[in-house]
Amino acid sequence: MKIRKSFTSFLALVALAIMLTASPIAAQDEPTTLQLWRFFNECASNFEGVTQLGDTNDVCAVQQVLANQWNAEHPELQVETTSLVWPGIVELNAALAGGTPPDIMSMHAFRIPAYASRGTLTPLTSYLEEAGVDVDDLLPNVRDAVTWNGEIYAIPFDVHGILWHINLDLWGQAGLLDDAGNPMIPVGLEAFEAACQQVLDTTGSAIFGGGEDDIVGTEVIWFSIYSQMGGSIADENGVPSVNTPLAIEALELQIRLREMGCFSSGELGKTYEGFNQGAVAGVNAGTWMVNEFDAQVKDEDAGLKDLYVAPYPQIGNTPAVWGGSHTWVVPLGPNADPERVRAAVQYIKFFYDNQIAWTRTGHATVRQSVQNSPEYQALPHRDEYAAFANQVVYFPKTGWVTAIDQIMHEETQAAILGEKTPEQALNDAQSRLIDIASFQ
Amino acid sequence: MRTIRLSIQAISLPTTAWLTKKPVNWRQIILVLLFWGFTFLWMLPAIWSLVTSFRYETDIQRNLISLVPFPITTEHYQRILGDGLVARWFLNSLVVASTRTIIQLTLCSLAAFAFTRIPFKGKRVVYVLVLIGIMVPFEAILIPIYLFFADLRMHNTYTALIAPEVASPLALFLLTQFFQEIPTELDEAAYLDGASRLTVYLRVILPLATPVLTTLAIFTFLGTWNEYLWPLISATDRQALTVTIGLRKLAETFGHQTRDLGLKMAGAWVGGIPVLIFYFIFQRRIVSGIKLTSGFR
Repeated sequence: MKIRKSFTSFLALVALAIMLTASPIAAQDEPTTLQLWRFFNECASNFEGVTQLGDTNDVCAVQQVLANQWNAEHPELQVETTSLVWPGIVELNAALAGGTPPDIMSMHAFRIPAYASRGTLTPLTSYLEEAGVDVDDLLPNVRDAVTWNGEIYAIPFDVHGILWHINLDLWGQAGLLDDAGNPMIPVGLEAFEAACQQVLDTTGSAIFGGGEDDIVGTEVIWFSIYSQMGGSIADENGVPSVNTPLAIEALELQIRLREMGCFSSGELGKTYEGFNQGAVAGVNAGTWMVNEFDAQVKDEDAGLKDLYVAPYPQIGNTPAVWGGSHTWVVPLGPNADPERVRAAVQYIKFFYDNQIAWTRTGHATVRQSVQNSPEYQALPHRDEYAAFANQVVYFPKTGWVTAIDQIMHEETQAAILGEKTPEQALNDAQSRLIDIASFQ
Repeated sequence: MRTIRLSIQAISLPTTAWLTKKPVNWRQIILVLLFWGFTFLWMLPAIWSLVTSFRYETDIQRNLISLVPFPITTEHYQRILGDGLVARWFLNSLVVASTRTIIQLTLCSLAAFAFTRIPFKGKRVVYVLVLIGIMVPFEAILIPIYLFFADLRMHNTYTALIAPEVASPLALFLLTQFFQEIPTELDEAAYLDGASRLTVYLRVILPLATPVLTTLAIFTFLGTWNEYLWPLISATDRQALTVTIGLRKLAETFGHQTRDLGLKMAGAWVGGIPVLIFYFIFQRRIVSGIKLTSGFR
């Protein structure tokens, strides 16, 4: 009897514990609070109450401090930030399925068609106009990237992509600096090969170091060369076209330049290590690496003493480079409560107006007015890669491009490492992408 | 045990060899050196990650593979432990892992008792249906479970983090197998003494099942502590994060894999140390648990 009593008490305790644990761990949101979901780390606690950016160029800090600034200035409309694991898609998909999406969400521009076509994003054109967001100030290619079926679905806050980071000391040794001490950037295949040979002969280093373990050293190079040759990964009907004769030619050229030693092979991280030691003449690295390499230059123990950051090398006929944009979208669907959307757009406008703050992170601005501003030009190396943002080629606006980075990385890597011929690799890529496209 | 004896002999060999003039046993010395060598090789990634967590990031990026932690810095640990929410995330993980462990053991042992000791119609069918659950991966039922908790508006609560896997078919299977091995004569003797079913369960079966219950408790606790996918989507509010997800978000980097290595390694150590302590405390039980669950003797 005693045991039964104590067991019943135990069960009651368990039930009580379940009831208690069912209450939210965090406090319930106020109705006027906007939910903003973003990737780029968690740091809210470290920056609690901080409303001045100071000299930070950290991706998380900039986003959090701007949100704090907004909250301090707008007690009637608070923004509550939630950090996601990059790129935040798992969390977003679950929230959309559960009917609890956030009001504002950071999203890569190339994902917009996949979500907009399913009716999960709110078209923003009229709201942006009403709020006085100057969308005409966007760079033309960027504006086009966030427009789908004639509607603007997002406000981008950067252009990110790959740049050519150059060790000026080694370029000087190779005789590739002009009288002003600037690098003589080769334009076109012939000039690139000649410069590559000059750097190889004098320094023994690759002119454009990379690595096959990362998309930066595989798909990005192929995509950029293919685009520079005038190719496109989708035909006029939006069908994948990654195994055209031009696509194969681009991959063959990439492999030949690697065999020549112009593109270094191995691990990308090891190549960057060599660059920081001052042993690699140039590397293929993202806008996100500008501040990092710059920090090395400022460290007296580093071998890298003099850095120049150029746009992506032009090997084909026209300048072009793989890239994209981080954007703010409103994932409340086309029939969202207009008041809610208006409120979300107010914060998006605030972030857009403070564009310069985000560009500290190394990514390029999306705004023409900022691009030409002295404040932007004064940021490290921005004047050197000013042309980059206009050269970025966005992925075509189809749903299947969400899979392209992974598939093209695997297939181009297989060709580079000799596991497949370039033709086989691109045929396999085409077939895999067609499979994905058939589900869109 | 043999390994330990050999090590002690080998270490004390030079002194005793001098006193007793016994010949040096080179075979044993080589064996011990080999053991040390393999242990070092096995530990090398852990040593490297520990050293890296104490190096400056600019220094790491110039020399990725180094076992020299100088110049030394604690900046990565300061950034992680300086975050006011880390303690909260540890508490969340502790509450979630402990509560799930207790509830799972209670539910599954009660069910196993019913399956092995109480005759009822359709027992076999029900048992097979429950065991089919072992074959259904959690990822396959993730969205229905997410929707269920979304409808109840229970995401970002302890219940949502604890409840989905409390009824574990695998735990039920292991307990059923173990309970079947306990002779029913023991129950009968208890019944003759006037015990109820509950008394038999609590006073006869559970004490005898301590080894399997302890093993299950350890594995459930560790499994829950390290859980990733469910807490990632269910607990998005920063106050509600578990330590696994919280540290991942805190020490996450972008671009390429070797970026911000110091922060990543410090995050790994901060998150891993409680598990290491847990392992050292329950080392024997974990090893015997592996034998128990794998059938290895």
